[in-house]
Formats: sequence, C-alpha cells, structure tokens
Amino acid sequence: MQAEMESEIERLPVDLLAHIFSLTLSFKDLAQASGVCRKWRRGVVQSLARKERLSFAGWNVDDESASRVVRAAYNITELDVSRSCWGCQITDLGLYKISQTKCVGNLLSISLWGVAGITDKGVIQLVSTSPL
Amino acid sequence: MIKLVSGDGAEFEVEEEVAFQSKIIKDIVADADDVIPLPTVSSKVLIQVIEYCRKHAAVNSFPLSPSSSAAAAASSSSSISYSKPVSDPALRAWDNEFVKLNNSSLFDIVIAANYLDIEELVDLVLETVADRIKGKQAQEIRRQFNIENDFTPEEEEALRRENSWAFQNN
Repeated sequence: MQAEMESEIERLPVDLLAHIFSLTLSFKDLAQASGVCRKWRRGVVQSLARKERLSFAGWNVDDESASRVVRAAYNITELDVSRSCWGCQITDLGLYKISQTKCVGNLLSISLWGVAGITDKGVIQLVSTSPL
Repeated sequence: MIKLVSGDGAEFEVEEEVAFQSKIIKDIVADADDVIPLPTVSSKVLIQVIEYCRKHAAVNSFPLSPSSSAAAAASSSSSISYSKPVSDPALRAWDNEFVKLNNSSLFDIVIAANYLDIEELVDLVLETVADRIKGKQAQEIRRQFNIENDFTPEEEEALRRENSWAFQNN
C-alpha cells in the first residue's frame, strides 16, 4: 500500500469514524484509537453510544474506568461486569457510579457474577435505579 | 433505465434494480425524470459503486437456494461483522476482492456510499478499515493514515492513565 500524501482519513466525518470503531474493535483497540488524535477520541466516545451491550468480562477494569465507559455507552440495555480475571476491582462505589449514568433506566440485564468487591448495599442501589 | 450523472459530467445508464441499491435514489426516482445528477461523486468512484450495485442487485434478485438459506440462518446468528449479514458465500468472496483497494479509494467509496445511502456498502468498507486498525498502536495508526497528533503532552498522559486498564486484559 502506497504512502498517502495527506491525511486522507481526515475526509471521513466523525460519525463514519464512530461507525468504524463500533465494528468489533476490542477495548484495547478502542484505547489505542482514542489516543490517535482528538477527532478519533470523539469518534471512540461516539461509538460507545451505538452499543446495545457492554461486557467488561475478562477486562481488568476499575470503578472509575467502568463508570466512565458506561456513561458514554448510554444506549446499552445489557451490562456485564462479571469477574473473569483476577484483580477485577469493581466495588460498591463503581455500582453507585453506574447507577448514576443515563443508561441505567434502560438496562434489561446486568451480570455481576463473581464480583467479590461488592455488597448487597451496592447492588440494591443499582437495582433501585433501574427497572429490573 | 435510470441515468446517473457524475460530478465530472459522465453519464451512466443503469437498470432500476441496480440504482435502487441506493435508498436515496429509490426515494428520488418516485418523482423525477430518471436523470439523477450526483455532483459530489466523481466518475471514477461512481463506476466502482455501480459495479458493486450491479453485482448485489443480480445476486439479490435470485431467491436463495435451500443450502444458502441455511447458511444465511447460521451466519445471522453468529456473524457480528455485518449489521445485515451478507449470506451468500460467493458474494462475500466477491466483496472481499472488491475492497482490496488502498485507503484513499476506500474513503472515496464510503463517502459516496454514505451519501447514496447504500448501507451494505458502507458496512463493507468500514469493516475493511476497522480490520486495518485492529491490533495496532496509536503511533502505528497515525503513521499508516498520516494523522497528526494534536494532543498536548498533558492530555496524552491523562489518556494513558484513563486507558491503562484496557492494556492489562488476559
């Protein structure tokens, strides 16, 4: 593939960029893409809003990062924060933060399997704000 | 027949079912005299788009054989790459050949396809671009697409902290 003289991809509007990022890219790919430039970062955030499902299973995500991603993914109806890797650090604080996001009213399913860092209190907080 | 006119004035006569792969053209044609000017699409790009539409119109006009509808059922439950899965394996292979183009040509096509509202073509091209991004580092992506890094060092540091969790999965 020949080198391009100018930044051809700049011609794509941000919604087409977001469409690219919503296609089967992993969190790792999204993290790299959001570090490319400001426009790509906007595209990545916008792509999260296209998602209907979000799963952190297998990812070493903490309260802050999980709630930040869930906040951007405000159209999801399914959320999976079950622990499938050691050291996953979701706690009641994370559930509280997630309960404050826009999508929580639309959630039809939340998976918390194996999350050791939470108590009934956090779960009640989350469930009481969702229609589950 | 419908006549499409590119931005540089070239005229292309195509069958309705070919032109109607574009939802926009389908909507326009209801009340037009069948000459459709497409001022933002060059003849080079329009030729490629018509080639795609011609192929897909031909395949879509034949009912699926029992074996390929079974394949369609299987792929619609497992495939996540297409929003509407292209079920015919031969067509899928043709699509894969069609997108063996450099980035610049792909962007030309996807901008035209987006403008003409040819959903499957938009998906096909963007899927291809996504494949060229997968597994690459930000720096590699910038080099590949010749993108300037417009973050300040402080912003880059903040991003690195925010995203560090995404690099530690098992």
